[in-house]
Amino acid sequence: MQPGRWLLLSVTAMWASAAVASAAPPPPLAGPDLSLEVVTPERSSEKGRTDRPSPSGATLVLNSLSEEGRSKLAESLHSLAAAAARKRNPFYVAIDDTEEHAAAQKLFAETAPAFTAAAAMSRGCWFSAEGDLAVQVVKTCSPGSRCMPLLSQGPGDGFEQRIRFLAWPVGYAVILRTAENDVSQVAGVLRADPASPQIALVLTGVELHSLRKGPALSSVLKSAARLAKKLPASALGETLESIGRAASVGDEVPWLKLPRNTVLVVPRLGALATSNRFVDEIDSRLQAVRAKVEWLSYPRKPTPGPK
Amino acid sequence: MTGTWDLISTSAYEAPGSGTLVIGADTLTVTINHRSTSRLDFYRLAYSTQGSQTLSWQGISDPAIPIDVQNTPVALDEGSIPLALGGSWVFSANMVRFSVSVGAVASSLIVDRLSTGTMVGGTWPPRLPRPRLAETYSVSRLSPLASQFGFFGGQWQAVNDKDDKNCSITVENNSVQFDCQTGNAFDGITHLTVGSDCVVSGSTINSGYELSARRR
Repeated sequence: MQPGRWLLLSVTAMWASAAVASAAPPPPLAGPDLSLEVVTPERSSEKGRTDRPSPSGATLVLNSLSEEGRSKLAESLHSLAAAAARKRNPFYVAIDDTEEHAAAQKLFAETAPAFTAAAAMSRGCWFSAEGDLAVQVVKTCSPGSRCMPLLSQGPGDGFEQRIRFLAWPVGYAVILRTAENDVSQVAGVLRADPASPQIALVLTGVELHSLRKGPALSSVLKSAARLAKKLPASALGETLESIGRAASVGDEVPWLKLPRNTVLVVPRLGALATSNRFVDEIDSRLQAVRAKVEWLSYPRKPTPGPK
Repeated sequence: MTGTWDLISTSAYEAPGSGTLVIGADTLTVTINHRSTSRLDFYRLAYSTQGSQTLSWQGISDPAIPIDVQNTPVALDEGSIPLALGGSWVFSANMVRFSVSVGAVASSLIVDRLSTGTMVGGTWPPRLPRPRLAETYSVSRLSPLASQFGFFGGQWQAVNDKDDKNCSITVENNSVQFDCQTGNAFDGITHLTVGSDCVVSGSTINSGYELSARRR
């Protein structure tokens, strides 16, 4: 064979091997080794515990609040409880409820998306409407089951997109990693706006599993329990009861073990169509911290450039 | 928007919901399940123009309620909405008749009682504002805006002829916003956005209701 043909073949082989290498699946992301497993509902971990109430997610919501947010929640609950007590007083004549009503409405609007996201996440198993698919987070997938990494850097194919949509509290979440000393700071800047139209929950790897202690915690728990007793049976009353009990509730998401130096950011359900704004809001807030932050998982890349 | 969509909803007041939406040029089917630990509530609205026009509403374990449909179509540019909505419509069921006209620069809904019967409870789709009998609701476009929904793009005002309840509706580009003072679950501001990857999401601020849909 002529040397020129060898060279041509070698170059062709090198190009071909490079093409094969670039077409091969990317290596798995370094990070929490968890997967989304797709199973039939009969095999899901929720089978056998459907008669038990799902966790409320109250611990997750309380942990997602900053200390300032907890204090404001405690104040709101305290003043609402005082208003409820006044109305039980037979000598009380309501003159103007506007201020209390507005305060309650603001509190509700700011906390409802976090509570609904936390409740949806705490279920730990998400079903298709037809009931033919169930998705759960697992450490190890069962043999023969369809499986994909929990961590994702992009939308994936059509089936993967559907699975991540059904499991939206984790499937559309952002997972960040930073130095362990910087985790609180990173979580803090992401919690800056409790009324964010994009972000529902911000939780560190530790806060996923146990209630964070803090100066305002006791006041929140007591005020919630006190107000719950004054209200008639209602969804709001149940939510308040669950806050009041949060200190005695165990781990609500034992299946979601993330390292201590990670931060999970869960979007609001009503923000999945604007996941570009969700990641851009996170990226923008991270500009305020000096810590080095690594994006382990995200529904799409942040938009480059200043926010 | 043609296709089958997965629907997910959450609310501060009830169990999370899941469902499907099938929409095409001649069909619209919305199925919603609310699965709690103790029960599964089920609702379905089904409309089809394949063969004859049929519309039905089914709630929980009740049999489907057929709704009579009469339509005089009017051609409209509806952008990405595949279903023909233009024209005058009359829906009749359970001794109640809803007359709706969609087109020109205004839309209206009139609710009439056909006889002395009363509206059967539970037959009106939950979460939607319940029109009251013998009232006329008018939706007028104040100014047009560019939108992927064609004719529906614009600033709209919805009022009824009996009281001061009203909604301001803005349909622009890929988003819809309702700002309503209606005193029901629809009260407050509701946003709806169509994402670039066929995900639709929205929320109602006052009621804590959130939803998302994704086309399969």
